[in-house]
Amino acid sequence: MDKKKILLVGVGNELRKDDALGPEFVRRFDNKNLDKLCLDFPDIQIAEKIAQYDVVIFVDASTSADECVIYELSEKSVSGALSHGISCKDIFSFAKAMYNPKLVGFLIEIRGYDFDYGNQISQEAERNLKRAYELLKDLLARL
Amino acid sequence: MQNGKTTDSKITIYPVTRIEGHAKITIHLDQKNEIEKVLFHVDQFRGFEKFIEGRYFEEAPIITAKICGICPISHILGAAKAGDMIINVQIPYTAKLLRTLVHLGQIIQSHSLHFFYLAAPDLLLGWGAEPSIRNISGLVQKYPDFAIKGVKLRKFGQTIIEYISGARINPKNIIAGGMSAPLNPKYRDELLYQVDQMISYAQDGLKYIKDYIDKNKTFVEEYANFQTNFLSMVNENEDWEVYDGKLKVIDHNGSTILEFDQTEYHKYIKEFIEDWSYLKFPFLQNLGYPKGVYRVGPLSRLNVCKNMPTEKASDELRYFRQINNYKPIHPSFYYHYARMIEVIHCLERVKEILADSQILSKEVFVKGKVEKEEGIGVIEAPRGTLIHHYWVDEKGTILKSNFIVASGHNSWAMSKAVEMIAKKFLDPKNVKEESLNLIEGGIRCYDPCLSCSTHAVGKMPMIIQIYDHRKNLINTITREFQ
Repeated sequence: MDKKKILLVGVGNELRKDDALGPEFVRRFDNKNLDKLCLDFPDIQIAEKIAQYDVVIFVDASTSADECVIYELSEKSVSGALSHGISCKDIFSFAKAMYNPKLVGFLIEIRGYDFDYGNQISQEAERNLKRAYELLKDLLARL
Repeated sequence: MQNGKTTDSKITIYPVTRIEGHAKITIHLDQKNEIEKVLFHVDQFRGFEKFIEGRYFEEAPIITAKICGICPISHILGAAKAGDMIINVQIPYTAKLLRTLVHLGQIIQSHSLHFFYLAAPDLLLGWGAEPSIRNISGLVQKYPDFAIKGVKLRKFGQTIIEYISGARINPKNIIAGGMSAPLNPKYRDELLYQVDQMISYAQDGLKYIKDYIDKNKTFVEEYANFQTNFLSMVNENEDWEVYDGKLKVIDHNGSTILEFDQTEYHKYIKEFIEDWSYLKFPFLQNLGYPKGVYRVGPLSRLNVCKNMPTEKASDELRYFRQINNYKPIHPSFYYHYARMIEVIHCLERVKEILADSQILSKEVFVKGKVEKEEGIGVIEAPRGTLIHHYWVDEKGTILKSNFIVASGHNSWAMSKAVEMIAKKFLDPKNVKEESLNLIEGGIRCYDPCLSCSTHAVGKMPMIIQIYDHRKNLINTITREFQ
């Protein structure tokens, strides 16, 4: 069986402290078996690129999740947003509907606490970041 | 009145969705609870004209680009052209080609965004479709092949912007005196390779809107159909032009009222101020307000120009003009049709310009120093005529500025459109969500860009409150955050 092509996508504004959890996670995660991508914000045009993979794993900061959660995305979990408020769920849904019906997607949400201006991740969020690595390793082992 | 609260006998639609920026519509009822008048309010204030004062004129393109997240290129070009005038230079031939090219890219991406993302959900999914799916997400789910074409067209326009001006957002290559970088041959070849495919996508979009109009002729003809004057830029042959040319105004019957050099706009256009909107209401001084109001944008450009001098667009324009027997076309819905013809023309022009033997020349900039105390830059932005006017001191410091933006020119028309649609489609005693969407759709015909700074389109709540003539609340309808 062919090896699955996996894309890890970190989403977030790196000038808003814990909002950078996604890109920071992706940068630090050392794994040569997957491709990486960092985005300030998701855009519908990225759907075409994402659809070239078998599996896409988004990593994003959250204000409401527990320390760290991971779940599989459904193509129906769209928000109805457009250009400014588009979500990882929307992008996955677009990629699956428009380009690759077999695409599988996951979202890792990491709880952030401080979204003020700055490029330092808070200590509490750093702890959640480490927990997220464990979740991702478990997921990759299962794929 | 603020945030949907009412103090009079009126219905409020706030915010208007699937437009760029913030606005609301208030519907005022009379003693018989019939619709008396409808107003389109732009209730945000930007203030760019004020806080650019004191800055060096060469900063104007970079600063004014922030006015708009959808069409920053339009503002950059307006400011750069004004800068050319201040330093009193004619930019090199290739620089003009590159500026035109990036401007065409801007129009392609903006029109595609509007047609496929904002307007098409109403047309393909239905005016009365569930609001939570009546958007691009719903469109992608139900019509993925159609949505892909819109996404790719917009991407192509943005790629042109990136390759010519250095970045998709806040580019720096467009400067007073020309361009700061020539075109990379690799980019020229890549764009040429893609352009024919893009033309076919645009033709598919155009075919869709033509078919929709054929099937809904009565609705289209009755949808905000009112007569106005039309203003647009044209070239020396009176043909369609968006970068550089004279300004021409025709009346509702197609007769020419005015033709003037773009630098003399202030002799002919004045701005009326209404106390219920932050948008100003431009009008022709010789006709007064409101008789002298006019429309701008895609429909106006097609009504005013003699021809669109490329093969496919010229054919489409000829067919388009048969709608009203070669007279100006007035129903607001035809803005959508006109917009797609413009996309085809822009793509054909892109192909022509990329094939120009001088397009790769490195002579794209000419130096100059401050020689004039005024600079005026006029272009046709995607939504219509955009005017930048600066007054500077001998060092080039901006003392004063005046911007007339496309959506401003259409202020009166948008108010008129929503009033006509409300009177036709809205029953104040039985307000239906579809009726409210039809009213919003009247605004969307004009694709107003009211600032697009922080708008989460499609996620806004909507509150409508209906008061009788005694100011008693008789009904409240709420569309929740989605």
